[in-house]
Amino acid sequence: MHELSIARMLIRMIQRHAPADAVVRGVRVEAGPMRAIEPEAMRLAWRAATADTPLHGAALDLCTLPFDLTCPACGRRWSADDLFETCACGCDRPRARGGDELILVSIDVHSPDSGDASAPHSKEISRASDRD
Amino acid sequence: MQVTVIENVLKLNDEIAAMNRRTLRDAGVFAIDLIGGPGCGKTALLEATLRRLQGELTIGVAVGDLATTNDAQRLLRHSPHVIQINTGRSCHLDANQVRQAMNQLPLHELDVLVIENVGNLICPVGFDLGQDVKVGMFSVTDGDDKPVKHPPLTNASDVILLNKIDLAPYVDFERERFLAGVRQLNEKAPVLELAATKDQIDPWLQWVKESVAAPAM
Repeated sequence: MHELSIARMLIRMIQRHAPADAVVRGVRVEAGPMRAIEPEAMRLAWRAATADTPLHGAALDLCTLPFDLTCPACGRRWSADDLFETCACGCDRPRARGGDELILVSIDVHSPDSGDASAPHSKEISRASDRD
Repeated sequence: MQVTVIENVLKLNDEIAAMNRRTLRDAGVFAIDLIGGPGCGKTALLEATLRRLQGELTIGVAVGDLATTNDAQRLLRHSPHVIQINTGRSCHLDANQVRQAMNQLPLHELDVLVIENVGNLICPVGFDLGQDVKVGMFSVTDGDDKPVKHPPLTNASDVILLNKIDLAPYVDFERERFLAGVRQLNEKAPVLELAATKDQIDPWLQWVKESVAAPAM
């Protein structure tokens, strides 16, 4: 369950980036396939970690990136969800490169001044300290 | 309103890891992050390593477990420089926990710091601790397909250890299949075959000594 540690780190990072009086509605994260993040476990961890925080109710949009494969035989480079996908040339030993990205891409926030009041589950976010 | 961030989620951990790395390099300590599943023989390997290299290299160990000080007690018989880190509910060590352990060790007296991670083949891999090298440890009783079942660890390891080779005749283990799996994910890492409880760890001791002498990996 490294997903729980990641969720906690995300919360700290979001609290640094969100405007002090904003309500966070959604969070977009991109994860490389070498991070081995299980989407269902990540959703559960996010719900648990945000439960008693101002981020409670904020939606987590997790995008798992595909493997970046290169064929050592013919040099073809392609993306695949399966690390062990066979190349079109028949070679079954593709090499993966990178894949350990873990990026907070964006935060969807609602500021009280903007006049839009539709944030049913969220509470005001306050700048928390950097440490738990 | 969308606020674009584009920042590494592990930035805070990675910043502390970078600090650890600087502190360790300044103190002249070669740091190893030892990662392997529960029961693969990490602590047995360290017991044998501390015993065999006594008088030759001064080795500190920070050992992570969810609970108990059992591993630290085993290792303290062979070295006074052992710190147990209890992670509570966390399945891996992070850079801050290692920093706290480092603060309790006489770094300037050490040649090597081994960070024995929590027994887990998945979660510890993605967390930089400030180590010089990651060592991925498997054992023959885990099965010969473990490297391909755990691509992140196999891929990220600078060295792969295969322990319990003395038990290979008694379990269904194909050495060639294991090696092919490692090579598919990692072209460079040396694979060292060991039997820690039988004191057959010479390739590993050799590798540690060479790495301390020339730690540019």
